[in-house]
Amino acid sequence: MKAFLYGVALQWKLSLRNREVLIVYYLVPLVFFLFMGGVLTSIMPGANETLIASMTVFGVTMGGVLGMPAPLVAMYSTDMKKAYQVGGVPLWTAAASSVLSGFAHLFVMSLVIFFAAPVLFDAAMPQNLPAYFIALALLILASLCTGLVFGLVVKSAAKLSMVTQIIFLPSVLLSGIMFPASMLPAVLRGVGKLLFASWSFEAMCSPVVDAKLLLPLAGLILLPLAISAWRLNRIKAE
Amino acid sequence: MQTALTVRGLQKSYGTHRVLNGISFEVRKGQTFALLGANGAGKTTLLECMEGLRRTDAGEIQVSGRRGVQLQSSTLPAQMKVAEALRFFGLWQHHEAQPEMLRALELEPLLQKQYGQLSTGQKRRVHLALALLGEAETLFLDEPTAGLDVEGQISLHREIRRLKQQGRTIVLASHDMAEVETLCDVIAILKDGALAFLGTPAELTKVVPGAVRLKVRFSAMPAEGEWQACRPLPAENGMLRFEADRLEDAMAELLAVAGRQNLAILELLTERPTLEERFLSMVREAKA
Repeated sequence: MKAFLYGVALQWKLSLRNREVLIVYYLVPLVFFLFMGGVLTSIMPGANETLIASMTVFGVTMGGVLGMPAPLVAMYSTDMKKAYQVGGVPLWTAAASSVLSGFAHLFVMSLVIFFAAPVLFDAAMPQNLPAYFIALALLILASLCTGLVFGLVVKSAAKLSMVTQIIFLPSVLLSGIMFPASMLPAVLRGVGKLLFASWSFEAMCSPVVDAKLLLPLAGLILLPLAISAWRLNRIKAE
Repeated sequence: MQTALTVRGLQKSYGTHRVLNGISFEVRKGQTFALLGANGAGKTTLLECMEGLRRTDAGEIQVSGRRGVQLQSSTLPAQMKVAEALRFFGLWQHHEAQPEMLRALELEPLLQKQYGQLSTGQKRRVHLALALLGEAETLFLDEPTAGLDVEGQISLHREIRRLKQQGRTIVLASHDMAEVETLCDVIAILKDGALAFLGTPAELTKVVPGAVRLKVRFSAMPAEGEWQACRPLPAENGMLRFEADRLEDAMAELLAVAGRQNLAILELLTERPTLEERFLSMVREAKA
């Protein structure tokens, strides 16, 4: 347990030293928040009501789906994997450490938006704080677990940046964070319902803790987790 | 002497391609065992099976005590500091890096450096330290000096000798025959997934044909077709060249030919091929 906890803390430090991860965990989401926060609240009446949730969903999706898998690809598709195996480190621990340290990074980034948005853009606080934070925790987990699948399945960093767009772009465009999902055609609304970003955005803006919104989100955590567990077993047996 | 490593009837295939074909050998405790083989001979697969990285199809591998592994191409996260790597892997192996080991491997000045900032030689020393962390009794070193400069090689050889003196069993895969000749007690040569040779470096020099080469200048050209112990090679600078298995047989034949044909031997040079040349000759024979 001590070794595992040290691994989690070490992973946290490594990602702070990794410029690329820092960019997608902190820099781009916060710069996007500063820029889009100003734009959205200027051109869209009522945007400040959901600004915290929308910017958080964007930032977390970016960090989890685009940022988190890169170090995992470096780990599981290179000889680093062998170094861990011969060093007596179970392979799953690298994935688990990345998820846990990623959770901490994305939570910090989300808190920055949570506290800065009302000051900078007169954003409204979420209607129900427990609902907001439960949804936020599930959003971060869903985003990281989705990233985990990419990190374990994709075998090169070059392919990773393209493949992750399959989830990232629709999440930004179809989840309702940039413009109301009701404006979308029914088909695209349906596609949006397959994405964790849509459910978590609704759950974060909900006035109550709504199980109907949280359960699909839990499913979108368990499904990638199951795929990741299967993939880790395959990697171990390779 | 106790056995440190036993490999019995090891078989491994990738699809329909049989890579290891019933390999068996033993390594005694404290021995330094060299594993040689041309590319594609199955050396890496055999090593990875012994290191526990690869499952075998059939056969048995027994390693006594803890196993320490230094991989040939291994890497760590570029941002991980040397001290952090030692602590991280040490915690998983329930051992701390000993100051004497860090001193011997000259790692103390590097502890706060990130892995990505290290030179190839420094990285190798880090991986050797990680292999030694668990107080391993049996060490697997895969081409430990590959890519190192002369200074790095000397330093690593010194460390391997120190480990040998401590009584550790070392399995060393290498392409550097000089390294093998000076460091190893036993040599195994893999050929097409099977053991082509298993013995000491001295034994290897005996079994490989062409143990000695001779250059001879006679007073006149001898008649052809008289050679038995001496196998003619292309002439060089007016000197006849021969290859023979035993120097004494070759000398006797040269003197006999000179006597029968009334020739004088004006110049005679002998040379013994290095272990590397013998190994290459074996590999060439295998390919032929």
